[in-house]
Amino acid sequence: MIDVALVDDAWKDVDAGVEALLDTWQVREGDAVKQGQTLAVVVLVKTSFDIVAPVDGIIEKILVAKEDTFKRGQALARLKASG
Amino acid sequence: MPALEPVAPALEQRWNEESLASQVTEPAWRAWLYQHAAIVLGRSQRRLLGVMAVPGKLEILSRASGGGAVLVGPWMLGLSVALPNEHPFASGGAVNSYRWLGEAIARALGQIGVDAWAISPAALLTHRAQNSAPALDWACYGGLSPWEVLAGGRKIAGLAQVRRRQGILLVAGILLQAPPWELLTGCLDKPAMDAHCLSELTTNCAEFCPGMPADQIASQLTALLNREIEAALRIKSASLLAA
Repeated sequence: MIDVALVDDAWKDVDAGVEALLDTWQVREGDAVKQGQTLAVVVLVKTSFDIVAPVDGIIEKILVAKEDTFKRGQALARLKASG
Repeated sequence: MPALEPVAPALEQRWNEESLASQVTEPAWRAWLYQHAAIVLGRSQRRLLGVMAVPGKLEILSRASGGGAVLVGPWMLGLSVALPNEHPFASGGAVNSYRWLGEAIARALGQIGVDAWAISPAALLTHRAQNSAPALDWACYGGLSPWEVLAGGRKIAGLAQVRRRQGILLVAGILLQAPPWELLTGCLDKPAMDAHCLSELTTNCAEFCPGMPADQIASQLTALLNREIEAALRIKSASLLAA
């Protein structure tokens, strides 16, 4: 199982305590996804980031709902790798 | 450099979307002047479309970047900069990517007599501690983020960003003249007091350049930004080649 998160590099120089916003999910639980596919869009410090699938797989669980905020390092979804 | 012709605000958003529609392979940028007023909502502000006080009164656009609502119009100069993901200005996180553009804008403003600076993350913490005014985060110019540009302690340029697999897009809005903030608050059904607060929190080039015609401010600033942005992109490329 792979945790999907906003890359740590994105949080560099961001104040401790600042959270990001999960703007939209483009997949649902149970969906099959391809490596590089955009799964969600999140916003941090006025920057929108595409969250992409690190590998082919199935979206096992969405952990942060649309319009909820999340912290640095927090997993957004759990992905079951194919194969 | 040819004079910049005002365009419909929607054209800027189209250019921004198209610039990231395929892989960005080299830096590209554009400046924008606007033919008429429009509200450009930040990525997460779609719900504001449902509370429009006077639907149809003003063109409402959405942008891909985050941040609050922007009232574009003849009082503003916009910038769009598309960069490849591997460009040095794209590395080191979102905050770092804002830095060079904020500093380039501040330098250009300085050359027309606006004593401007891009606020660092550390200076922003101090600024917040010293200013008790309520942040109006629903409006871009009601809040302050790292490397946005201040003059006389008030915001004069706002920044936002989009990061996709295809590349990154930085956008900026520089206030040339005082915007009619009540147009923004009125359309979005915000308290009239918010317009007053936005006026207090912001400044514009005309305040620092009394007597200079608005079109002259716009043309001079555009030429200076052209020089600053081209130089920043060129120096970075040269340092890469030398490394």
